[in-house]
Amino acid sequence: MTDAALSQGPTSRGGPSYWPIWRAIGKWAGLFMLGLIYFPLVWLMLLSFSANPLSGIPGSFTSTHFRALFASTDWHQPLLASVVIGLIVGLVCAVVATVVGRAVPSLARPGRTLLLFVLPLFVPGMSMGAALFIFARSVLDLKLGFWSIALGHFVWAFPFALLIILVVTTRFDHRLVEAGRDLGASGWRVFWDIEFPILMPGIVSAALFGFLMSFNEVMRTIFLRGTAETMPVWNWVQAAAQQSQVPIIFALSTIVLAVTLPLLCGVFWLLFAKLDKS
Amino acid sequence: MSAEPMLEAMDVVHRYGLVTALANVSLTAGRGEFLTILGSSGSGKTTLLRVISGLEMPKSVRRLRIGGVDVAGLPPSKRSCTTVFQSYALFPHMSVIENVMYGLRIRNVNREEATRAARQALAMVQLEHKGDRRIAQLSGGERQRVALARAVVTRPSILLLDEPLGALDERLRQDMQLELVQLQRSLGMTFVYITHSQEEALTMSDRVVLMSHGRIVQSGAPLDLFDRPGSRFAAEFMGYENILPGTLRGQDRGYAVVDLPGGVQVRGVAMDAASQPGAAVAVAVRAERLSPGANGPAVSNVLPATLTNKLYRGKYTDLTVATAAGSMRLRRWENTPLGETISSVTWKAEDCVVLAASDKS
Repeated sequence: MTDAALSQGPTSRGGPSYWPIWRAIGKWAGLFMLGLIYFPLVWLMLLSFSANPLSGIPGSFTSTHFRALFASTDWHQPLLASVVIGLIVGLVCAVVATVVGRAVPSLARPGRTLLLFVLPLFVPGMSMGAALFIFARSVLDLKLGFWSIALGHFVWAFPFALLIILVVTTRFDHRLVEAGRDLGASGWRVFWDIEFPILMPGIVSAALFGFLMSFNEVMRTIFLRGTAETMPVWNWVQAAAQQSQVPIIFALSTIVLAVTLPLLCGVFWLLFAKLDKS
Repeated sequence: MSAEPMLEAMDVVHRYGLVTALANVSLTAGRGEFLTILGSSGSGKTTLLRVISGLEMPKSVRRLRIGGVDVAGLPPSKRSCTTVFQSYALFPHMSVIENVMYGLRIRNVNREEATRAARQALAMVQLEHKGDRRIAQLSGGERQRVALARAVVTRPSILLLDEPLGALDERLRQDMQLELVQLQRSLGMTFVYITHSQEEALTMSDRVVLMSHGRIVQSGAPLDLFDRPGSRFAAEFMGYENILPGTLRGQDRGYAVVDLPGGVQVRGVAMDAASQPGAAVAVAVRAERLSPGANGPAVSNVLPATLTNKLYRGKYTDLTVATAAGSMRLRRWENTPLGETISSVTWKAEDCVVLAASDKS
C-alpha cells in the first residue's frame, strides 16, 4: 500500500481523485489572466512608439513622442517631486520598519499588534486621505504640499515595508546574536556584523517597496498635495485636461514602467531567491 | 592543576519568574580540567553555563571568577570564555574562515595574523581545505568542528560546550568524543562540558557534576559516579537497572546489611551514613554485575530467582528474573545455552550500593 503510493508519487500530483480537467482549466485561466495583466502594458508601450497613438492601434513606429517629451520641461518638476518623496519615504520606511520589525517577533502576542499595523491597508484611500488632510492641516499645522504628501505616503507604505521586514526578522535566529556577544562583540558590533547583513535583503526590499508605493500613489496625494504635483497626479491632470498631451503621457508611462518593473523584480529576487540561498 | 581555580562560581541563584533554575549552586574547575555537568533537561545545567558565559545574569551570585578575574556583572564580551553552542550558531552570511576569524577581528587582530590563526584552528579540526565554503555547504559534523575552531581561536581561559555532540549521529559522536578529549589535552584548556549522556560524561571527563532541579546532586570522578552513586536519583540517572526496596539491619565488616522482602539478607556499600538500623533503604546493582547461579565468592549476595524473560540484544542478552524482592535484570555478554534455567542470582557486596529509600530534596 505504502510502496504503491510512493511509486506513484511524482507522476500523480494531486492524487488520483483529482479530476484532470481542473488542471486544464487552471492552466487556461492562468494564461488568460497573464494576458489580461501584460497585454495592456505591452500595448501601451507599442502605442507610445506609434505615430498616431490616439487611434488605439499601434503602427508606423516613431520616437516623435519621446522627443516631444524630452523637449518639454513641464514634467521635470513633478518627476523630481515624486522621486525625492519616494526616496525619503523609502529610506524612512526601511529604518522605521526595521526598528519595529525587530521588536514584533519578541512580543508575547505579535498577531494583534501586527493586525493593527496592517489594518491601514484595508482603509479606503479616500478615507485615509481625508483623515490625513485634516490631521496635517489642523493638528500638525503643515502647509499642504511636499511634506504633507510625504507624510501621507509614509503612512500608506509603512505597513507594506513592515510586512517585508517581518519576513526576515521572524526568520532571524537570535542565537547568532548570543554567539556574537559570546565571541566578544559589543551589542553595536553584533548588530552591524551579524544582524544587519542577515536582515539586509529585507531592509533593501522595504526601502524599494516604500519608494514604489510612494511613487505610484494618487488617491492620498490628491487630498494632501495642496498645489504641489507628483508624477502620477501630473499625468492624470494632463491626460484629463488636453488630448494633445496624451501621446507624451504614453511615452512617459512607458519610461516609468521600464524603471519600476525591474525594480519590483529586484525586490522579489532579493527577498526570496537571495534569502533562500543563505 | 594549579592552586588558583580557572573557574569559581559560588552560590549562584537564578530564577525564571517563580521557577528556580539554580538554587545556590557552587562550581569550581581547575586549570586544564575537563569538567562535565551531567543532567536531564530542566536540571539547570544549561542555565549554569549561560551564567558562566554571561548570556544570563543570575539573580545573585556570591563570587564568579574566570581565570582569577571577577566577572560577576561583566557582559559576555568581557569574559575570557567562549561557548560551543548546541545549535552551533554559525554565521550563515560568512564563510567558514570568516566565522573562525570573527573573534580575532573583534579583538582588532590584523587581517593577516587573524587569517593565519584561523587557518591553524581549522587545521586543528581537520577542515583546512574548507575555509572558503559557505556554512550551508557543510555537513553537521563539519559545522560542529567549525564552531569548535571559532570558539578556541581566541584562546579563552575556559571553553564552554553546550551538548555539542547532541545533533550528530552515533558513529560521529563517538569519534568526536575522542577528538574533543585529545584537543582539550593538547590545548591544556579548561573545558566545561554539558551533556545529558552518562556515556559522554564517563568517557571524556576528569570530573563529573550531576545536576537535578537546579542543584548539584553529586560530584566526583567518573568512576565514583558510576560505581558509587550517592542517592537514588544518581543511581537511576547513572543507569542502575536494579533498585530493590529493603530495611537496614546493621553493619558488618564495613558493609551495610539489608533485609529484602522475602527474608533474604544482602550486603552492600553503605552510601548514606545517616540511615539508622530499621530505616527504609534501597539496594542498587547494575544488570551486568549480576550473575546466575549460587557459586560466587565469599562476600556475595544470593537471591533465589526464576527466569521470566530473555531478550537478545545483539552484543548481549538481557534476562529478567523474578525474585521475592522484586523483578531483576541480568546482562550476559556470552552466549547463553538455549534451555538454560536459573535458580538464583548472585552479586558481590562491593558491586552494590545501599542508598536512602527516598531522596531528601
